[in-house]
Amino acid sequence: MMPLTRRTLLMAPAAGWLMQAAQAAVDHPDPYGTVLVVLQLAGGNDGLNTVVPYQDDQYARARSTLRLGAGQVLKIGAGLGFHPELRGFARLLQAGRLAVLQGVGYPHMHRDHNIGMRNWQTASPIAAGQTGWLGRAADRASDPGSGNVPAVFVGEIAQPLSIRARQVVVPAIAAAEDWTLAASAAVPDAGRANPLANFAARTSTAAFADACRLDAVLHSSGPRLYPQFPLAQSFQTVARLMRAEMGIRIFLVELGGPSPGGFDNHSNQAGNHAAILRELSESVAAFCDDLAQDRLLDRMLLMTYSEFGRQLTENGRHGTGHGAAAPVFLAGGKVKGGLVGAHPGLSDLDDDAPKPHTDFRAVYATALDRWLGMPSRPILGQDFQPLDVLG
Amino acid sequence: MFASDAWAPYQPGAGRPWDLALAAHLLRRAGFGANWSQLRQALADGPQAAVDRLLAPPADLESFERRASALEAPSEISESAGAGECAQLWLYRMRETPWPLLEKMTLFWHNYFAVAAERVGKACLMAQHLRLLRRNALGRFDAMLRDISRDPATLIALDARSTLKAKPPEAFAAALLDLYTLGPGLSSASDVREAARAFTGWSVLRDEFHYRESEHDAGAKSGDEVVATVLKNPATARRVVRRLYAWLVSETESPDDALIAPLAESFAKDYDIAKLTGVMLRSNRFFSAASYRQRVKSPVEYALSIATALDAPVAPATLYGQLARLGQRLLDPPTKEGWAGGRRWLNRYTIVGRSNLAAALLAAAKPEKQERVPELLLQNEIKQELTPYALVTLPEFHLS
Repeated sequence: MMPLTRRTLLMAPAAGWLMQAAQAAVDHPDPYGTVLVVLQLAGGNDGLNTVVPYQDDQYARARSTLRLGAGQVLKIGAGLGFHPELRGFARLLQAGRLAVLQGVGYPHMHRDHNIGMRNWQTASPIAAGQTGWLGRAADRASDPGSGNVPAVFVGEIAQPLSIRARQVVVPAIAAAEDWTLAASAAVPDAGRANPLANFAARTSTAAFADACRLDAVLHSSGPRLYPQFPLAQSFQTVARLMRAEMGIRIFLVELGGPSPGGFDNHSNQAGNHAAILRELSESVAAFCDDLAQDRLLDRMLLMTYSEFGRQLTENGRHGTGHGAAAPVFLAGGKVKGGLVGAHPGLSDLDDDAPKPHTDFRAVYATALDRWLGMPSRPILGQDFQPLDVLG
Repeated sequence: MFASDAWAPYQPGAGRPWDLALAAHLLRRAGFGANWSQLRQALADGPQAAVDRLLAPPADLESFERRASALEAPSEISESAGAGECAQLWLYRMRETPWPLLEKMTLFWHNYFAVAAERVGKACLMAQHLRLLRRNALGRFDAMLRDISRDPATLIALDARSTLKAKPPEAFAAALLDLYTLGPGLSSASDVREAARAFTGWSVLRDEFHYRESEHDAGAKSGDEVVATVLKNPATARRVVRRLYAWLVSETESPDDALIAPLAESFAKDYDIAKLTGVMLRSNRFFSAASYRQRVKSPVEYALSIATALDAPVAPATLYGQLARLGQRLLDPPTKEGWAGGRRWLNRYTIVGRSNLAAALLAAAKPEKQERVPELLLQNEIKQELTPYALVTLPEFHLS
């Protein structure tokens, strides 16, 4: 722990304390484990115009105005191409830092926004529970007496259900500044007779040290290039919290806003989808580039999810209806890059939408078991075979 | 300590004199803290008279009630603003009320029944639910339970908006048995199914309780019979007493059955909540080290203890959001079990958030009031001079 006492605090000017705090961060590089960053894409992302089967005639016929052709997509092999705005994703894929898990979902996917999203958030497609899967992971990762914060939501909307816990108070912050102290507080002496007061003292000491390290990160970091998108700003906050070494294992960020969400394009999809995919791709790429500078990228795994994909056939209003299976993206330094699983065939559809072949909870199990080292069974309620997507 | 000694009224003596620290302890637990004049009043009254005053304040309760209810009139609550507005008006009550114990107990029952606005969906029903909790908060538990079983918000939150013979309200029955009365693990799956059948036909129609005779399972008991049966089970009184013990006395230890038994036996006879509350607050146990600073203040207790000490008004809308970020979105507990609370309120984030909230509350208070904070808080624990901010960010100040 930080070598701070009431005496050093009261004697030293605030700046001295900050430098000491910053120094402590440098002295203990990487004391914590892996970090999972989950990105919620609200509204139901059109998987078919994200990872485009541009050579498939059925696709071209069904998407009379929205289709993306061979000349537009960013080709990634197997007859597939990224949406032209996914340049950052294409670069990450080339560098082996992006995996595209195709055909992810669950049997008989629900096509209502709220229920569909709830299913992904609680990981319980049959009977939706009261807590989110990340919230349950947070509860299991944190002993009540530790005062640790295992999970954080970064964003402007109300905290999504995915990260709701039964026990842990999960912070919901808009920016890293929300976690710094407005006025520096005295670090308490240890050694109180009352165990509860001792717990409060220990937690206060750790909290004030965290806030100071974060403050030091905010003041010491050189220029790091993030685009102006809100999602990019959220990622920058995540990067700052990672650099401050506060022991957070799980971050949730979001793109698309509150329900129904910005990915819900029933009309005039082309422009809206392009804009939001650009925000997605450039923000993720900037985040990965930033983390790569400090070798933090090897500790981070990013995972996306959206409540459903969209139907194959355009709806006559230059938009698409609610569908089923869609791709999930993984990014990070330890990801086995490339396409994973087959693109769902367009000749075998479920009410005009691609069928899933990979259960989303197998992806969750991969993140929990293989990445965070947390047993997935108690969190997901049953066993799912993790995927071989991490190096 | 024998149970009879533990619950005997505390008489100050050389071993445990009545002082500012104990007076402050009483006013923290039975309300939301105290200002300097309230503390001096309690000190002068002595412990028993101070508890009398908390249970039945010699104040003009009616005119406050008129003022507060006018603000809460259904016409004043907009559905679009949602239950957040009800919660904010509640914060106003907590801060301004001449009867803090009533609001503190209303908060206890809110956490006990843990009905979440998010599941109910209508602000007017949450406002009605809150009135139900307040009306019964120091009344009789059996009457409250009957009201709760017909409360539209509770029924909706527990998926019993519309119950049919073919669709008995099992979630409602499970909550009634496992959370509201007997406690977890004491009823079997078939007990729950039987109880659920008794509530078939109970429903909410146009925001009001409605009984549909034709949908009641003729082979089952009535809902009221189930409520009467669980009220006769001694486990119910034990559960309420244990929960109230954790709320008023201590949450750091699980008390022996022998300690709980005398209170539970007495409570089962009349379900008189005010009487039970009085016995606990007056007791040797309450004024002993087993209770002193053995609770963690919830965010609302933390914030209001500062505002009360400073005689500072609070901005309910701002405070509501600040408390939500510290884990306590009033009228929206995270699960049917309520807030986990205890040590869970304090973590490496919430301590920073609480400190910033304290700084904001202090900045909003008049300087001459700020100066008074150190003398009335933590008198006997902290021997040194501290600034008000240093004081309210001390570990002890997070405890009640």
